[in-house]
Amino acid sequence: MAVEAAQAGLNAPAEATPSSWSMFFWRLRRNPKAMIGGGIVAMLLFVAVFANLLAPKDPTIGELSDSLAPPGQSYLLGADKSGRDVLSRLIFGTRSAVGGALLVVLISELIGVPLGIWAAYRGGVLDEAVTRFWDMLLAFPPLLLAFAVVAAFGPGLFKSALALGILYVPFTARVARSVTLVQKEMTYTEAARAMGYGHGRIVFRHILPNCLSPVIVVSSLDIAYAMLDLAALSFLGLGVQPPLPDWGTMLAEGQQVLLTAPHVALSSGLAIVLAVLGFNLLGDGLRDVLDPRQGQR
Amino acid sequence: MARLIVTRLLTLIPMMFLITTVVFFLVHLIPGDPARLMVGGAHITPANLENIRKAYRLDRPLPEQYGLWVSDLLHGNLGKSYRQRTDVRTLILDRLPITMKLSVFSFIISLAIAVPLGIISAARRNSWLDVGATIFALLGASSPVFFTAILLILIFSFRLQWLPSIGAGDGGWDEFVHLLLPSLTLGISLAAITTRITRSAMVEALTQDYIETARAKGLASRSIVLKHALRNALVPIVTVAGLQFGFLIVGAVLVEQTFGLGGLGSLLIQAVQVRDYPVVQGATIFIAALFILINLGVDVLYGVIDPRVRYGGRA
Repeated sequence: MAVEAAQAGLNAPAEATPSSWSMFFWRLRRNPKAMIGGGIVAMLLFVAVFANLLAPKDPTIGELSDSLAPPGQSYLLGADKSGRDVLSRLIFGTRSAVGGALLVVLISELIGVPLGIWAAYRGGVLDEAVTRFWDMLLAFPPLLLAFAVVAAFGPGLFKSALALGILYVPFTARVARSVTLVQKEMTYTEAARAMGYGHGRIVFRHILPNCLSPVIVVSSLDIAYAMLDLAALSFLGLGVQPPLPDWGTMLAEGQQVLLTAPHVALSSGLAIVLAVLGFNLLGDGLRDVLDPRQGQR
Repeated sequence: MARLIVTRLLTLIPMMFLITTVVFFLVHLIPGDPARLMVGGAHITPANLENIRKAYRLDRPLPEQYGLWVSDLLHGNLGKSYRQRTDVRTLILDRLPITMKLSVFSFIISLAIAVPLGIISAARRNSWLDVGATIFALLGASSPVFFTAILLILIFSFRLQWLPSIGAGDGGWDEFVHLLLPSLTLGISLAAITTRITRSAMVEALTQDYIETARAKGLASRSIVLKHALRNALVPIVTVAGLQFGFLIVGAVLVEQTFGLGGLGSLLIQAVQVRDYPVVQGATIFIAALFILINLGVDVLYGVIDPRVRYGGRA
């Protein structure tokens, strides 16, 4: 998926001239996937930022007498086993879900983009060695290695996000590398070199800006993957630790009371699906917009 | 063909080396004394602690421990569990059959859903069925497998009361019945991506010139789709299905935990939770090796399907 996205980016308008920007937004507005996905993502970000204003109750304190209360007047989405308001926990859970996934992707970009550009720009044996190394890592499900990391360093959102971020590096690095390989051979890069510009200027002025759009497309899809991986870790009790509100832990708690109070598992599960769907749609939409040839399919 | 297999086998060596090294050092560089961890909070005399260190070779320098561990590994010895006082190999082999059954059933279910669905939606583009398949693929890819599991439990176990929702049963038919829901869960999750790939590979194949020719010759639509287009769409389908089979094992970890199946995945997760390092190491490396071997199998399968792979180098 990342490769398709990278290819998409290669055909993208490179320079950020006003006309290409307005063209980009014009196409974006006409793409239903991007608009729906973008809407969901914007809503998630809004909820995450203003969680303390939006949540009707305290997400960590519950009334034991209201344990497993069904959805109704006092609890819009019902209460969990400890009598905590499910809606408030969902709202605050947006923070660890979106924040954690953003952290994963940010870490992978901060390491992966420079690494990919560097490998492709230098080329030769170094490129070969680095590519071989991450090809091996790519063949591997990140979640499996994340289990080993958690075994070693203990559970927690920050630790699992850090581990996943590092394990995602090859995905980002590969995209940056493939863009750089193309840009390196472009006539304007050659011209810049002929004019005696240093490597720094060539990389920052010519190559890095061209990496941006494919990296953004891949990031959106990677955020979706990261959300699923983080939710899985929390579901297994290896990520966010109770009583902190998190969709994955809520789902695990909900499974234990599934027969009597399915609302706990259903609402947290649907929250995960909606959020992942949002980033998936946005990523797909952006890819269509940046590469119309693929979009027609 | 033989050359292809041999070269692919050779690339496994550095890969396995990398994985074993990473896993070993990850688990051994952690702060804290593993010997103390093993006894938990229990009181213990320094002499006994020393004995444990000796028994598990924790008194040797790290490089030596690593060397001994790799040499054990090459002899098929994965060490002893800290908690269960059993060989890790025995633990893994005991748990393996259920995981393998789950993986194979799910894989078959995923193909049984994805391939027909992908073919039909490519052949009848923009029909209601195509739209439905697209929505299915999108939702399937966005739903964590453990949530799909919970939805299916709610429907098939609680509402309809058709299938059991927990445990692996007592062997034979009972085990099969217990595995149906977990396999369906994992099968649906995998089918989401395979449907998408099948559809786009078929759309690509159906727009080629030879399809026009076949139509012009007056061949039946069914034969065009199934004989001419499908064969050419097979390479991407096999690629993705093969990769899926590897990721299936990770999905199996989650599904086993949700359905309380007690397979390899549950073994790994429980070991992570109680920090039983030899088991974590052993299970991770075992799953990794399985994963790599499956990828190898897929590569060889390409050679069978696509003669170009057999003769030319792969890009």
